[in-house]
Amino acid sequence: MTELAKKTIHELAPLIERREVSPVEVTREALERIEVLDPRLHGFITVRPEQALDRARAAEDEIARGTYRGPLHGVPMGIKDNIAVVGWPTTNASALMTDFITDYDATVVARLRAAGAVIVGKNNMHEWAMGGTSAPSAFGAVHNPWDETRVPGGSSGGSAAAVSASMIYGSVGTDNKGSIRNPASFCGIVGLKPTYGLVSRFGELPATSADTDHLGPLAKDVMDAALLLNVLAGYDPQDPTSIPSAETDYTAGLGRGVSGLRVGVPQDFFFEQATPEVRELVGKAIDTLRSRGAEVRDVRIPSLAYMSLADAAWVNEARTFLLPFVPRGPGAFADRSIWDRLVLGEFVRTADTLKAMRLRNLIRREFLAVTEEVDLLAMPTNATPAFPIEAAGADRDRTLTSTSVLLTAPLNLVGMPAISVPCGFSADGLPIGLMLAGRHWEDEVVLRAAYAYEQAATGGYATPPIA
Amino acid sequence: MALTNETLRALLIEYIGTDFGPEEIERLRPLVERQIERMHQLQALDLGGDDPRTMHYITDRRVLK
Repeated sequence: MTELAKKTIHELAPLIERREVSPVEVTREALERIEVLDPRLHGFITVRPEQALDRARAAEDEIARGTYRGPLHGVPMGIKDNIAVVGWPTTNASALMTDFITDYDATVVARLRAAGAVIVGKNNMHEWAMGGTSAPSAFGAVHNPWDETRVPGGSSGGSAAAVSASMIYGSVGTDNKGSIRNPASFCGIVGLKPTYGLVSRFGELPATSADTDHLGPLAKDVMDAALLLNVLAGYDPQDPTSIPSAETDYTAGLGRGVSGLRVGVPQDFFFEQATPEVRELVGKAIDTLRSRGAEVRDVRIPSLAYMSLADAAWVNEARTFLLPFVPRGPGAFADRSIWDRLVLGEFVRTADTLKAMRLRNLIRREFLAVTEEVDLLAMPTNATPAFPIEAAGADRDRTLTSTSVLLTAPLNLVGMPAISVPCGFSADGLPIGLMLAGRHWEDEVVLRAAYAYEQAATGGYATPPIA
Repeated sequence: MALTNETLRALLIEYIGTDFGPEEIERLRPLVERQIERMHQLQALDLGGDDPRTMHYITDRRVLK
């Protein structure tokens, strides 16, 4: 891999701004890497080289004329394939959607374009964003750059694999149960689920559950995640769940460290589900935060014991937008367990959904009570490292796909910002992630703590073997 | 009451409008039974009573801002 491809956005941007590196050169190299690596990783569903190069040339001309739009100007990016890009297919990795083309951009895409980013393609994913492996896709299973026999996680698995393998410098994913953080953890990169309402969901297709879905960045390191959030965040009247927020530079406070921050370590649910190896690495990461001045204390969120029963509301929501495809039978889905799930939705009554929503509120209230005592929560992103693709392929009872988002999903119920940052490797050389979550609208605190940990422990982006 | 294959088949015709084959019905039956059992577990949870004055069905995070 060349030094250029290996760079992060914050390393590349000054070179582009000073015109030491051309956006065309960077984009051409990204496209070449996609051509070489993607037949093995399947991180992309759509790649549009000519359009990407046109955008790169436009960026180059603009910068040459003295108009530099900021750190994303001329930088190659990917978009998960459940987010609309004008004129390109938005397939959800489903054979049922191969000819579905929108005549508009999602708001996040429009924001990236306005910042001068070069969108090179649409990233592969777990079919319909309804699973945590990205093995079932009408366009082929996505492979993990750290071990090609393993899943990259999901559902934003193509985004994570492509960023990890340095085919692109960042991507935008969606996270309804952990679909940004889980693949980020499995692929050794950073994934941020921002506060609910901070990043517009307009153009996410289909618009999934109203109050647990989020869009956010997948990036090589924490600084890049903050740079991307700077561009993605902001009120959007086209999204009824978007919430007005003050314009914030999420990079500004990164260097302030964690001294004085109170970090809560949940004693329920998270660590008891994780393997000993994951527990040990995440425990060491928390020790690092303590050594940097954070005050670490135990906290309790007892209602998480009932987390699996809160799933009823998700089951019912999924049913509503895929119901037209159910009569076609399980063969219409790459992931046949999705069809099962849709059928099961027919057996969830309104009373069950309402009870599940009450349970969600109970869990949410307990999280909110805990965050009155602490500034952050620290826990594992995943219970295990990435597992074999072969096992995921036989996962009709959804055991593995459920395990992969087991620890991330509670934060979707609550809407708090949560980030996954790499915190070491398993004995097999697979990345493990530390998850940090903060109070609503305190995304900058989450980023700051993740950055402090990253700088103290790992130093940032690590190159996987395939790259 | 046990869920028979014939009952499940009839329910799926009613709900989805498709008559699925015996193999698919046989495979689905334990999944449906498990789903119904989980819903029973959910309903059995004591979440603080059903007095409408203390219920909070709707989550609107705007109030948190």
